[in-house]
Amino acid sequence: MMKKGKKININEKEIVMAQVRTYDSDFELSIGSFGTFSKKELLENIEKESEVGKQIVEIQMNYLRDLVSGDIYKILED
Amino acid sequence: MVLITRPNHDLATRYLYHFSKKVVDYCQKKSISLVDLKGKKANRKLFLSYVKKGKLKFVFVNGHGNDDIVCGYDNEVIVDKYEKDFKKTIFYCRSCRSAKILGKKLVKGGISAFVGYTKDYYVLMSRKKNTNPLSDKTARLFLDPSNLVAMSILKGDNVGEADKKSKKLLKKNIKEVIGSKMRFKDDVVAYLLHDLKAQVVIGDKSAKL
Repeated sequence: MMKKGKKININEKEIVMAQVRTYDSDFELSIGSFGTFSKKELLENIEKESEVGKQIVEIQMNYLRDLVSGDIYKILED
Repeated sequence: MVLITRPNHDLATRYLYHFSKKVVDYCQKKSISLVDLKGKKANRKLFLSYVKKGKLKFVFVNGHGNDDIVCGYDNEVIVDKYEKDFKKTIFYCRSCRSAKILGKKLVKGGISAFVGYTKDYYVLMSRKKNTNPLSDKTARLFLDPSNLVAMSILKGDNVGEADKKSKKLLKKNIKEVIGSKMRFKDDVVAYLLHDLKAQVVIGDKSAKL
């Protein structure tokens, strides 16, 4: 988990924001006790680097790392 | 006796409310003794009144939570510590981060096993479907595998097997999304993977009903 107060890497932030911009407008993401977020709200949270924004960037970047390293194949093995 | 809590005071809990109805229906079909604390009934007072009867074998909590609590209707805390009447109960908490501290605390207190999440639980939804959550195919990718934890335990599998079956379905869903023409599928996969990694069993994996 990204530490409180730690800034998001600018390149990672831009990559994830570009991804989120492609979402459909009817998209909603429920993030546990943080609530439910529309595409617009997600972009705002990433932009201002809130806890939610940091989590989204971390989850998306973890996925990209799993993909690049090939770890995703191990994770998806039965 | 099985106890299910399913509040419905916001969009996220409304989804959990409807999806856990499948588990309620299964119990009714199989004549399993069930307490269905739905909507406003998902409150601490009622929950503890059933706990005190000392007959709970399986508790399935749906609702918000954090490291050391799980909540009911309007986010009232319903479990924050071990209660002596929990005894050897199995818990499945479909709520955020409760495996981090609460799960360990309950197992240390004496419950047999706890299934939950070490991080926030993510569900992707379609706004067009949110008046009828069960028709939301995107949400099903997330919530059918988690329902399977409860269904599998009710069918007699042990907790370890239930966790395995649930994760197997999550992996199948991830593979199907990867091979599909779904828009922003990388993002769907990223959130499904997140839930897969966050789901854990604490305690005795061989515990069963």
